Amino acid sequence: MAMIEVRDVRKIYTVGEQKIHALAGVSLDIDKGEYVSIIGPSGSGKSTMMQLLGCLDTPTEGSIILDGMDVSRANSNTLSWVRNQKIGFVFQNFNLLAKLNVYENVELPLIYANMPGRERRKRTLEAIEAVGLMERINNRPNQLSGGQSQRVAIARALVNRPKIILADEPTGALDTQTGETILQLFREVSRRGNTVALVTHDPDIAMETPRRIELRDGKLVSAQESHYHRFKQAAQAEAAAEEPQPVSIVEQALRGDMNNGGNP
Amino acid sequence: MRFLLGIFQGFKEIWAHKFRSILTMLGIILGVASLMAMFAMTAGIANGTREFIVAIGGVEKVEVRDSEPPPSQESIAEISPGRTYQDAVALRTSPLIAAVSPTVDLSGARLTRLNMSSRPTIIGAEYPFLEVENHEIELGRFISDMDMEMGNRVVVLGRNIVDELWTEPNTDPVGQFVKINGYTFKVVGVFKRYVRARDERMKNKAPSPLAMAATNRGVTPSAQPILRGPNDTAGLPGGSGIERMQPTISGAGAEGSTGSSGGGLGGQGGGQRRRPRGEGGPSGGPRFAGTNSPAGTNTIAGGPGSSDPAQAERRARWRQQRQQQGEGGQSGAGFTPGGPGLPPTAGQQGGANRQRGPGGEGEQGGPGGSARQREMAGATPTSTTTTTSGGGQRSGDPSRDARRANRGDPFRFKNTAVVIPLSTMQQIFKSVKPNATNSSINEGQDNKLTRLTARVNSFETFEDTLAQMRTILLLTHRGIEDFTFDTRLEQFDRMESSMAAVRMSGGIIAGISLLVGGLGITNIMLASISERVREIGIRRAVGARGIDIFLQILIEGIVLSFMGGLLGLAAGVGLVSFLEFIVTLDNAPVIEASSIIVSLTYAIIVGIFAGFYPAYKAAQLSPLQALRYE
Repeated sequence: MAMIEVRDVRKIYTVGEQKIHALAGVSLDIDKGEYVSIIGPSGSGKSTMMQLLGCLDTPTEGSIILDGMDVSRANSNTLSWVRNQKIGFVFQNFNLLAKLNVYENVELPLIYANMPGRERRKRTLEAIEAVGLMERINNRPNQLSGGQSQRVAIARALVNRPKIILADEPTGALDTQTGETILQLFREVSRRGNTVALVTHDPDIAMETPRRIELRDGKLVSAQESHYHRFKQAAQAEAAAEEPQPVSIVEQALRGDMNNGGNP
Repeated sequence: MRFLLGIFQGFKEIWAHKFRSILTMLGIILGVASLMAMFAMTAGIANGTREFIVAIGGVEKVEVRDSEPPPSQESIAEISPGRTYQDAVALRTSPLIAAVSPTVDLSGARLTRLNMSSRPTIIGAEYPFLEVENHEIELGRFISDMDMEMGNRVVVLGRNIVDELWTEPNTDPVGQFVKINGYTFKVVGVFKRYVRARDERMKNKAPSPLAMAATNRGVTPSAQPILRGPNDTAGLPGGSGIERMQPTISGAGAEGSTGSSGGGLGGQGGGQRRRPRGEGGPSGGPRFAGTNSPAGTNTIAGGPGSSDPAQAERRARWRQQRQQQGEGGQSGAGFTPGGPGLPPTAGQQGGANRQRGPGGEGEQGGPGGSARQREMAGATPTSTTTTTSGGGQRSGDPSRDARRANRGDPFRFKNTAVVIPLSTMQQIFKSVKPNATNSSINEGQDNKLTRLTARVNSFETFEDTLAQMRTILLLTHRGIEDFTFDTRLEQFDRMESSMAAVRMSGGIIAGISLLVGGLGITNIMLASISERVREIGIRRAVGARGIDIFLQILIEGIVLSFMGGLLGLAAGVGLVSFLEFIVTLDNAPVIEASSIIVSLTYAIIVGIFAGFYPAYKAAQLSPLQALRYE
């Protein structure tokens, strides 16, 4: 059974008079333990998709079923519970609480889960250990590097042992090398049986995942098409770079026209 | 669990913005402090009033007064004998009444001993007087059944009277003799000195060097009355006259402490001049700067004038002005500006030579006295000469002391009581034939009682007791209802309700300032949540429900106001002692536990209300919007 079932989801934002169809009927399944990336250019609806999957928002139409639970019509408290129990978030800009140290930041979801103190402490330390930040446990976020901050965020996402990890451009604010270590962490998380969904606009990162879900203009682009499309584009770009394309006379004329400022 | 964490979080938040938090709390701090101060003041006043009511006999006391009979009985009103001793006898049969005290007063009597005199109201009373009037015997005994039976010529004196008639402080006059209108009476007892609780407290304070010096030298430093003058004006007018008088031996005149002390000033200090009906009339008679302290009585107020008449005159004039303004009365005794320079002669007559100008006489003579003073003078014994250095030994600051003493002391009447047996009173002064028995008291030509007072057994049966008293008195008055009952109950109720009104209005004013403090909290917290939208978004993203955010913000507001409340309590205690220090209130502010609880509770309630709206707003934020907020 699928961990995530998305059925004909539409999300319409109303900005003034205008209606923006952020998602125009998307259906997809993500199985338990899958490691997928959701890609697309900006405006494609991937962020909206992410917010809906993460229960930060509800769809205008259609249904989303997470771990057998329909969250598309759930109330605010239920959504909070789902976010707390079933989902771990990792954001591009880390979203750590500046006033709290590493330990307290990681502990936060457990507090809202009403976990008793001893168990909470054990879990928190485990999660920090897992991302290898035991020595920075009392540091504040502003004393951490970007990579460390993101690892704290991952520890926080993992601490409540959620079934789904959602990451929104997790490497977006990091340099390539640090990004690589973060991606490694996600691979590890996925290997341990979690369902992980990465949202990215970077095809290289998307290549990391066994499965890519591509969105464009609020619609799903088929996996095959997507694959082909991307490589075709890449090949074309390569070709364009190596040998200039033959240019038609008309084009040449036009170009020359422009270049020469009207000289025949 | 989460609640405790929330409180902890609240404290952390406050600590993170220390300065801002203090500023925010300031409104609450001041609000709570003023609330407390207000409660303390009203509690102080209420205590004072309660003390007063107890002093005048407590709420169990019922006085039977004359009143107009109802119109239907007017034509036959004469058949009623009025309030007579028979009433007392009849009332004593009631099981609901603890004691009945009939008294007959003789006002304007002259009480003398050697060459000292006073003009108190003489009370003819029976044994229950003690209980009904809440009197206590300090020395000797009270009038006994035997005294009443035999019509013995015995007298029990109030402390102030004793101080007046005997030179030494704390004399034991038991066994000695005094004369009342020429009849010799044996002093068998002395009433306790009644001191207000506040004065009692003052006792422990050390005397000031100035006053000490004054007493040590036996001379009133000239500066003192001057110092005192303005202070006195603050006092209640009229209260003064009844206060303790401190006769001064004016013999010291020559060494003349500049004539500052009252009586000496006018040069009327001469005892002989004074004694006969004080022609010199102390202006307005009765003013004693003195205090309750017997110590002061010994002070020799240097006779005045001779040494520096000009100065004396100046001062006298100054004082007179004050008195004419109606504020005075309390300052040193009367001086007629006219007579400065007359050498005091009292000294030549020896130490015992003291002048006593009965207040009534003062009336005639004193140009300076205000009407009020005269009024008081009539009722109380007075002394024309006083020493202004009063109370030097007991309490340090004479001006303060005098001020206090001059305020309406509820015990002044009790301290000047002169009590003789009722039967004696009737026989000697009311023309009842001698050797009469108690029952024949009613046969004299003047058989009316001045006062008929009863004390009820229990406050619970107060109404029933009154009904029964009415029935009994209707019998003895032959059905004419020419009497009424005067109880302290109404007075007490009035006091309670006016206190409640004061407390209410004060509470509302202080409450408004607390409310303003609360608005400050609301304002700051609204600013603080818009600063923390992102934090709220993050918390929501990791699973906080709306209610969690709501509680977090609310608890922060409550913690803020609670801390403000605690600081406000400390500030309130400070404020109360500061008020006590600068205002010198007659009734000391009292901080009661209830006022602390009420203030703190109110602060917390304000915190809840103040935090409610910001908390609601924070909880309403959509997690998504909050997360995206920059």
